[in-house]
Amino acid sequence: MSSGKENRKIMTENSNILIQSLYLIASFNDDLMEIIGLSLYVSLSALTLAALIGFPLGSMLATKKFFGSTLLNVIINAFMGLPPVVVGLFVYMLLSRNGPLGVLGLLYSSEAMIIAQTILIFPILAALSRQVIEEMNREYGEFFNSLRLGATQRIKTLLWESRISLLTVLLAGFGRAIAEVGAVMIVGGNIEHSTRTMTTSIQMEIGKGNLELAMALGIILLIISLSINMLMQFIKSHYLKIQEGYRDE
Amino acid sequence: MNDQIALSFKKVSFYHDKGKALHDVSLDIHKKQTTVVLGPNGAGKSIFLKLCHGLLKPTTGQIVSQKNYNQSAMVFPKPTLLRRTVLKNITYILDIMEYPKNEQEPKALEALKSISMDQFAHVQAKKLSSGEKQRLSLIRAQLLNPNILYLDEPTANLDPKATAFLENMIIKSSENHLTIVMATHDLMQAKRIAEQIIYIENGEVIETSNAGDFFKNPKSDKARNFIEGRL
Repeated sequence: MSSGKENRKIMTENSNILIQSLYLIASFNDDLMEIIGLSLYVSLSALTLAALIGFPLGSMLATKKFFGSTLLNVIINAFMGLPPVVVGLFVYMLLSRNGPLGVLGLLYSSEAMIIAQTILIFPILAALSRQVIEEMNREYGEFFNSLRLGATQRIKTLLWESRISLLTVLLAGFGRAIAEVGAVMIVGGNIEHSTRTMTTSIQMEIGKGNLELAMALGIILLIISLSINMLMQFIKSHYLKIQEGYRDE
Repeated sequence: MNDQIALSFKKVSFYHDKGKALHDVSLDIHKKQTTVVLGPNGAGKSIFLKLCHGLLKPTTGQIVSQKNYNQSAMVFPKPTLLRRTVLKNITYILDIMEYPKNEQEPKALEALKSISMDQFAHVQAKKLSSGEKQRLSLIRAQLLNPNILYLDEPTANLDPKATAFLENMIIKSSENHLTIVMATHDLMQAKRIAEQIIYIENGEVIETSNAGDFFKNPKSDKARNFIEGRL
């Protein structure tokens, strides 16, 4: 009997937490919005940088065999599963006062978090874009050869032809970045109004017992993750079908 | 090299993983003529064309092209179209040709009109039928202003109507004195189009002669058997 009462009490408490967290979201709570804004800024900046490094690298590996390309492929594939804390530690050592880039004074800043997330996701972007472009190059390679296209124009065309698939690669990279906690916690330090992101904040608020804010952030993260997956699904089923044609293929 | 010759094969052989693909070929391709490379499937016709176009390098021997006559274009059996609209597939080529940006679209539309495809200008190229795709491939190749146009079984997957349209395009190019080298295994098509014939079997050039002589009085038994359907 008492156990039943306890269960009801826990359920009521949980319901209250959920209602409070929904209220926080619906009222556009300032703290919540700041944290979401910083998370998006960090992850989108990292995504941009990672794409600028990863896509050309992926294209190069897909279209050219050069000395060390096999080794580079192996390394990039292995780095796709890099543990975030290891990346965090690496960037921490790089940016700490005694580290090689210590003079820049970037540790515990949003820039440090961007660097960490870039390192974390660029192998994903490079490896997945290599696969996409390799497949595209199999289709177009002979045609490009017959046009005597140079390497730059060939890569530019391949990137453009792969644009829909690359968009889903970008979304996959963004999903990894926004949900990451280990690396940004180490190099950002979870400083209020400065380096507090959704994931680091959830971890801290749970520790403090402030479950409403943690739950609100969790819901937002879940929405972002679901939206990304829905968008990927939509792109794959809609745009790819349009582009690939349907009359005689 | 004789002025009338566009391309000259000198003891050219080509070997790939499976062994000999083309053996000891010596012949000339004549300027401003339509040469049909004829032979059964697997004879080495595509490899011959790819060697001509520079997509493959001879294992031994050499291919010499006439001075100022090395601008070539090629149409493949399966059309390779970019994932963009029909119009953009053409402006892509015009961009490579360094056409002024503002002239690209009118030029592309004019080209599409010439092959009765202007109504498809804004359709995704991959949505076209096989015949329309191959028409687009051919006009795209022609827009490269080649001295020599290589056509590798361009009608292999087409129905008779689409084949007839494409053959008319080829004949029109030929009338404009473009040098054309086309591979086919279709005897009737060769009869309709060819001025010169190169007959290939098992990687060996069996016979080269003008089309009239080839069909009336082939010099070799192998060619005669092929013509008479006894292969």
